[in-house]
This record gives sequence, structure tokens and C-alpha cells, in this order.
Amino acid sequence: MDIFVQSAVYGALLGVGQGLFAVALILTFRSTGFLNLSIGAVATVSAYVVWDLWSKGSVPLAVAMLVALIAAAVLGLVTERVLRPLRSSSVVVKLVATLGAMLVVQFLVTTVWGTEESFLPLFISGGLQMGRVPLPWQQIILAGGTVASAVALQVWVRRTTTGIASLALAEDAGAARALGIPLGRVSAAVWALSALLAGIAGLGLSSFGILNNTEMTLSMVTALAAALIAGFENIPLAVVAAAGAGAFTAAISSISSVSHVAGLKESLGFMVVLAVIVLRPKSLGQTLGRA
Amino acid sequence: MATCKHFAVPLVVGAVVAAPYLFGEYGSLIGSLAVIYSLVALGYVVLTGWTGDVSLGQVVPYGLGAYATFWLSHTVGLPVGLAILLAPLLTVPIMVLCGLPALRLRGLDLAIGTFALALVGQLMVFRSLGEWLSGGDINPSFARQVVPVGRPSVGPLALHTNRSFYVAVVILGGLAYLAVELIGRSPTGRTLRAIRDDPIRAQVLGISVGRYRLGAFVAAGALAGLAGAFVASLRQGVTPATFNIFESLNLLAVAILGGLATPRGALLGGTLGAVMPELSRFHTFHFLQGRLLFVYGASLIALLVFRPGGIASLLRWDRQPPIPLPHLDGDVTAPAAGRSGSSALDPLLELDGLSVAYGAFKAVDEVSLRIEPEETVALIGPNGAGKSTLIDAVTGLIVPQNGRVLVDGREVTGLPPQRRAGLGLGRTFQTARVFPSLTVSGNLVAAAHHHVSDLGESKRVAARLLDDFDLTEYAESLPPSLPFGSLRMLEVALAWAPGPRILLLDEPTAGMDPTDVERLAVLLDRLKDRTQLAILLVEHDMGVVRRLADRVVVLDQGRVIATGSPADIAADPAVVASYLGTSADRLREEETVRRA
Amino acid sequence: MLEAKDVSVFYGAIRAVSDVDVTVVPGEVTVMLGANGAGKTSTLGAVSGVLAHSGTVTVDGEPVANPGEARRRGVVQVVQGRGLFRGLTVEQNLRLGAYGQSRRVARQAIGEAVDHIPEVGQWMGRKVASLSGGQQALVALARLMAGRPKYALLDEPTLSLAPVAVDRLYRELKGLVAQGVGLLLVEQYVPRAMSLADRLVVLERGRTIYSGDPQGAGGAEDLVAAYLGSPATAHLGVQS
Repeated sequence: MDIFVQSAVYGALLGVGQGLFAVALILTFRSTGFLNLSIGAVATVSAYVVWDLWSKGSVPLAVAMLVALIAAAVLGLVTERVLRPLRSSSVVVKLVATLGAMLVVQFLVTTVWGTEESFLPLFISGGLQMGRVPLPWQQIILAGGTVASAVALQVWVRRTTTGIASLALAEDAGAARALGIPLGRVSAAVWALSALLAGIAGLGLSSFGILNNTEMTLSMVTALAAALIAGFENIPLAVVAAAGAGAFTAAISSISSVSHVAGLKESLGFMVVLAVIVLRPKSLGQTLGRA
Repeated sequence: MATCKHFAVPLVVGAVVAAPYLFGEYGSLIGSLAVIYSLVALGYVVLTGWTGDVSLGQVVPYGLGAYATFWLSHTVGLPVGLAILLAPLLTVPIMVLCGLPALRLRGLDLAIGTFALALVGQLMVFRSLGEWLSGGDINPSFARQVVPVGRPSVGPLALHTNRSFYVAVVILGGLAYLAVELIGRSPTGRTLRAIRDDPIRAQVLGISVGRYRLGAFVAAGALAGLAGAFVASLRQGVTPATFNIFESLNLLAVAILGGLATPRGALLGGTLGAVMPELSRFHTFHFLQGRLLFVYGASLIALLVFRPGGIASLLRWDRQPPIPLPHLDGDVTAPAAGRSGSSALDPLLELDGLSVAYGAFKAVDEVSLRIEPEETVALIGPNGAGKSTLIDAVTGLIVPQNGRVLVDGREVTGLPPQRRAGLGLGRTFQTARVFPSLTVSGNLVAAAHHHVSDLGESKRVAARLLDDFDLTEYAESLPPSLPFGSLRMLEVALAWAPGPRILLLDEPTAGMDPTDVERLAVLLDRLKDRTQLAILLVEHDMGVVRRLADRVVVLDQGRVIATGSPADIAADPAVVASYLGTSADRLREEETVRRA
Repeated sequence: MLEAKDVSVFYGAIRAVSDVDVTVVPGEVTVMLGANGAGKTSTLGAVSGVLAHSGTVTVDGEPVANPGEARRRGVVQVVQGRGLFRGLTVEQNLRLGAYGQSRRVARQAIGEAVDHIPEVGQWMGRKVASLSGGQQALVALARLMAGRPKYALLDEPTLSLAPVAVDRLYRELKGLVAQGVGLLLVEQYVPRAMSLADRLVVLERGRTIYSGDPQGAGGAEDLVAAYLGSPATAHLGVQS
């Protein structure tokens, strides 16, 4: 098969894994109006924890993973609590606030683990081979997990009372409160869940690049594009879009003339984001039922 | 005492400005950086503080200004001083190009869009600009790392020392600051704030929102471009590493820290941005070293939570000065209503087969209507009948699929809302739309300003309106503090300020208690007596309809199902069944109280 | 019995409500009248536990301090503007109305609400934003019923409603009252509200200026005159 197509398939697989970030983003945005850009940093923390305990240390993998995910969830809860007073602020203020949170979490990473480059080995080695392009098992499992959680979440949000409550929260917190819905608890649950998903994504994706902050943040770009295409609403669509965006960028990057242009490969994701933002019919503000 | 205060401020300012110079080369370096960051922050004040557009990409014109300075001085061969002055101008066409698609975005979309733009700039553009612009006489791989820029000369004096450079930068930066201050206090500044508060309201009042937003975007870019030019010459070189997304966030953070509402906040923020990294050298602030990320992040969050107005709001530097309004002399008539010269045969407002459809759903279905001068027509009908949609279509906020709208015999169907305001249309909204960050008089002046000859005239109009609408005691108050009835009155006053010939009122009495309903009815009667005002009134309160309306039009499912006098309508069985119910009695009742 | 005693509500330094007493008896309607800014909404917020307040609010002697507790004691509020979640479906709104009850009880309560207002049953899958104002008022009512209220607090439920829809709403409210629900109704529309009232509270600038038997306030005309401070205006459609 053509390297172009092979790259596209690989990119799609990688993209689905990154789609887990999109799911996490949509979860908090739909419920609380926060476009939480700090989850990339949270994912990095999870990866570093496993690296520290399992790769550098001698803690069993399962335990290390558990600690890493707990750390991610805790970060989510703490961030939610700190940013809770901004609950009724504009979406832009909330965005800038999460950027502040991102800076703080990144500071955490560099303080605890420094800025040296590290490598996280694969948890599961081997995989399928498609022509010149490998499809690692780890990525396949991550992709599978993403699809499963996307489906599960979609049901949870639409059918369970807590899930529905999380949607109501975003639209009209005052009215939700008047119905006796415990705003703080619902909000905290959503953020913890979102951070957990980010942690899982971090664990799954870190083995495929250098373990550092910037890599993870760049990884989130596909997720941002996918979430935008899905209007920050439709979780399954976001996963599909992530696959598409991933396939697109990987395929384009495989064209040799492209890799000669400095920075083009890395920028592709952002250019997709730009294009989607400008060409979308409905604005993000409208998604939340407000102008 | 007053003179003491008069001298104190310039003295303090003078001392602060002189301080870096007195601290020698190092101090002047920091001082210059403070001016540079302040310029970027000034851009944020204009774009975000006043106009309400959040751009996370100010680093793009910042970098462009720097590279433009390099190109102009090195490749084109201009003297460095001239290059610095021209560089901001070069950013203008690029910002216009980026700004035009950005106009379609607002709020979060704009923030993300500019965020992505900044990242593309960081990853692609700035890395290669050095090479592209060098004209070939610098080794390409070297050009990608850093390109040289010299220091400017003022006549024979080359500004090689940081101190001399600082003086030049303070002077030029000071001029830019003054320009921004002047804009802020001018009607343009008020218009920008109005656009930020409520762009739809502004459009309907006749303000060209798109033009102002683009202007703010370009102005912010020029300010950042000037800052970039300065930093290029200060450091005597440009490296792409300076213009990354974290720098953009830092710049935004210090701008927010200082305060986005006033140019003085920008000065505070810029100074902080220059001083904070240096503080860590001093013993007491040693803990700051390596912890800047945390400090910026944490202070950003803390600010947003506790003091979104920044330090400037803490110091109360962002209070709006009161607008001195002239005393009323005699009976100044209401502003000239629309334009004269219309044929006496044309109805004031005519709708011809107007249709608005959303897919298969017809919100307004072939509605035809004529309203003559001095007529008051009530538009009633069940919820969802299309009444508000109709008004939106008449004022240009919605594009109809079919049909025409004519004002004074002139077709306005294709015109955007801001153009229709000048032709005599005024409207209110179901939920009162005013400009909450402007004082009541500020609201009125802003509304009148775009339709009268000069500022003095608009102030006279505002004074008259305050009196007519019983708002004098609230002149310097902000709208959120107004009692509900007065808030509604303010909205009608805003609609009235441009001097419309027909008022479209969308449920003006909703939520009003009986006292306020009476006040509004009396006021509308008065306005009608004084001018040839026509009114199209959407109402559910049949008592108000009976009191004010000459004619009633009933809309149901987008179609006109009945028109006639209030008594006729009250007797129509179809209308009673679908809409009036037991309220038909109120519509039918004899008046027992004469109109005032 | 739902009793609020000496309730005061502060917004910073501003005292919106001063020492107001309100009583709601099951199966009866208490109407609260007053000009805009008189403190009616704030009083309602205090009674339902949403707003911080001084004074006591008790249901059958048990205190109520927050919305959760209010819910548990059967106090359900319909806020001004109805507080429906327009981006959610009717069914999702009803489920939220039943929040806090077990799955089985919630399903029963929703079923009963739909029995009372059959139209709502046909709109279950539709987003609330796609319904007209009158239809939304019925959904809000059904959501109220899904909460199995013993006491219902309604803040200007007829706002922006077509007269025919107001007729329907009041019919349903009468039905609720007949089932034994105690109603606390805030209204601007004097004559309509008076036709339902068993007891009356009139507020002015946060204070009670009248409390007790509706008849004692005179006819609706006198009432309007009393708190308007000017001769009754016929355009209010006042009938004595």
C-alpha cells in the first residue's frame, strides 16, 4: 500500500487515542462552560508518575498506573474547586483561567521532575504491521478504550440523572440550584472524570514520543480540532473527527516535500483548528444556550 | 490644597519615569522593557478592555513589528529610526487580512482562533521569517536563529546606550499612550464599550459594529507592532524564540493584572511584566526564581476570581468620569424625527408579503401590513406566533426569505440594521437591552451621537431624554442598579434617542408593575402628541392595548388572522379561542378614565 | 404548614426584605403582591432556601435551610422565567424535576404529571426551546408536579403568556390546590391573583404593609389604590 494511505491509517489510530482528550474537553465544557486547556498538563503528570514509579523505580505497573490515575483525578478535583468561583463568569474568562491552571500544573511538572527529556517505555509491545507502518497494540487498545468510553459517556450524559444534571448546570446554574441539584458535587464529579480520561490518554500516548510537556500540549491540538468539529457537544462525533484529523495530518506529513517546510508538520493541526473555527456555522457560545 | 494635588501627580509621574534613567544602563533596560510591555498591554486595553474581543494572539503583530524593523533597516536599507516608526504601519495590512475573517468570530471562538493563529505563527512563520526577509546576504541557518537590528540615531546622535534609548522610547511610547487615552475619553471610546456590552443593541442604534471592531483589532496590532520594533532595536536583534505562545500568555496575564479597563492599567501591567522577572535577583524575592510560571498562573487565577479589573480597579482608576450635560433651556423639542421630503402618500412602514422560514417551519408567513404616521398598531397573538421574529426582520436582524420592507416608500429589505436606524426605525427588545458598563447618561449620549451633528448636540439630546423619561436622578448610575421600571424606560429612551419616526416596542410592559405601566403609557401618549410618532406595539396586556392602540393586528402561526379596532378584535371568535380567552372582556371594556 | 417568620434578606448592605412573615397552608393559596423591587422574589428565594436569610423557615415545625432540605420537605419552587433548561428535552427537564427521588418514585411522579397535562406527554422528546411560551408554561408546571410538591412557590408564572395560556395555567393551579398542595403565588396581575387567594400578603420596599384576609384589603380596586397611591386606573381591568 502507498505510504500515504498507511500514514493515514496510523494517523487515524493515533487520532482516536487523542480523541480521548476531546472527550475530556467536551465533558467539562458542556457541563461547566470551562474549556479546560490544562488537561494536557494533567496527562503529562500521569505519565511522569508512571515513569517515576515503574520505569525508574520498581513499583508494579498496575499499581503505578493506579497512582497515576488517582493523581490525575485529584488534580481535576483541585482545579475545579479553585476555579469554582468563576462558575458564572464568561466562557472567555474561564478559558484564560484554565490557561493559568495549565501554567501552574506545568510548573508542578518541572519542579518535581525537571525539564530533562525522558522516555516512557511501552506497556505492551508488539503490534500489527501494515506495509512500512507499524500499528502498536498499545495504541489499538487505547483507541478501543476511547471508543468504549465515548459510547458510555454519551449514554451517561443523556440518560442518567447526574448526567442530565451536568448539562443543566451549564445552561442555568441558578435554576438547577433551585431544583435542589447539588451544583458543587456534580461539577466536581465531571471534572474528576474528565481529568481521569486525560490521565488515561496521557498514559497511552506518552510512549510514542518524548515525555515532556510540550509534546502533550501539541497532542491536544488534534483533540481541540475534533472537539470543535463536534461542536463541543457530540462525543461520538468528536472521536470520529479526531480520527479524521489525525489521518489528515499524518498523511500530509508523509509527503516528503511537506517535511521540508520548517514547522509545517507541527502547525498542520493548528491550521485545521483555525479552518474549523472560521468555517463553522454555529459559534461555541451558542452551544451553551447563551449568545 | 487643590494646587497641592495638582502638582503631586505630575511630580510622581515624573519621578517614576526618571527612575530607570537614574539607575543607569541596567535600569534603563528594564525601563525600556516596561514601556514595551505597556504598549502591548495598551493594545489589550483597546481590543479586549474596551471592545470586548479577547485575542490570545497579540504576540503575532508583536513579532511582525520586530521582523519588519529588521527588514526595513537591513534589507530595504532605511535608517533604523525610520524603520522603527514604519514597522507598525506594516503590520496594518496583515492585521486587516487576519481581522476580516476574525470579524465573524466572537468570544470563545475568537480566543481559540487567535490562540491557534499564535501557535501557527510560533511554529511556522517566525522560524522562517528571518531567512525570508534577509535578502540572501545572511547565512540562512543563521538567519533562522537571529537577525541583527541596529540602534536608531536622532540626527547625529546614535542611541547606543540604553539610557539614551530609554529616553526615546519613553517619548514615543508616551505619545502612543496619550493617543489611546484620548480615544478612550472620546465618543469613539464610548462606542467601543457599547459594542462590547451589546453589539446587537449597538447595531440597531446605527453603529457599524464591524468597522469599529476591525479598527480596534488593527490598532491593537499597531501598538504591539511598535512594541516589537522597540524590542528589536533594544536587543539589537530578533530571535523567533521570543515570540511563542507562553510569551503571549504572559503579556495577556500582565495586562489583566494591571487592568484592562483603562490605559493606566496597561502602564501598571507593563511595568510589572518588566520588573517581576528581575525581582528574583534580589534576596528578598529569591523564591521567585524559577517559579515565575507558578506566579503568573496563580496570580492570573486569583485575579480573575477576586479582582477581574486588575490593580487599576483596586486603585479605582477605572471609574468613568461624569458627563457634563447642559441645563435644559425652554422646551427643546425632540430630535428631528427622521428625514423630511417623503411623499405624503407613502405609509411610514410597509410590509409586503414578508416571510421568514427556518427550514420547513414558517415563522412569518406572507405578512402584509401598513402603518401610517401617528398611528399606533398593536400586534398581538399567541406565543410563538412570530411577533418578535417579525420585528427582527423589520429591523434587519433576520433576513427574510420573501417579501419587502419599506420605510417611507423606500425599500430597506437588503440593508443591514445599522443603516435602517438612520431611516427612522427604533426598537426595544423583549428583555431590556441597554449598555450596562456605561452610565445612564453615557448610554443616551452614545445612542444619540451617531445621528446628530456633534457631541454638544448629543449631550443636549441626552439631557432632554433624562428629563422626559424621568431618569435625571439616575444620570450617573450604572444600569444594573436601576429599578426595573426605570430600566425599561431607559431602553425606550435609547430607542428614542436617534429620533425615530416609528417605534417598534416588543412587550415593553412585561414584568412591570401597574405604576410603571401607567408611567410608560403616559410617556408614549406625550411622545405621540409632540411628534408624528407611529408605534408598533407587541403586547400581552390587553388593558395597555386598549388604551394605546388605534388598530390591532392578530398574528397566529406567522399569519395575520384578523385586524381591526380593539372592540372588533375582542368580538372575533377565532381570536378569542386561540388567544384572548377571558381577557376579551378587558379589550372590550368602556373607558372609565379619560386619557391624560 | 409552611411558615416563614421574621425573614430578612440582605444583598451586601442593602436590605431587600425586612422581617416578613408568610404562611402557606396545604390546600390553600397565599398570594404575595407588591411593586417591582418590593422584595417578593427575594422572599420566595428565602423560603425555598436558595437565598441566605435571617429569620426562620419551617415546614411542620422542621427547619428548612437550603434547597436540598426544602426539596426533602416537599417545597418546590418555580423561579421567575420558569427556569426550564431550553437546550434539554422535555423528558430530561421532567427527570430533573424529580431529582432526589428514587428511580421508581420519580417515574411514577412523572407519569402522574403527564396524566394531568397530557400535551406534555407528546412533547417528551422535543427540546424545550422548540416550544412556544404557553407550551413551556405547561412543561414548567409538569416539572413542578414531578417533584411531588406539598408546597409550591410560583414567581410570576404568567409572565409573557398569552391570555388563553394564562386561563389554562390558572385552571391547572386550581387543580393542584384541590389535591391539597399549598400554593405561594407571586403575581403582578392583581385581579387574576385575587380570584385564587385565600390569604394575602402585600409587600412594599421589603416590608409587609398588609397581611391576612383578601377581603379585608377591600376589593381589588382598593388594593390597587392602596399600593399605587393614586386613583385606580380602569385599564387594569379591575372589577370590584
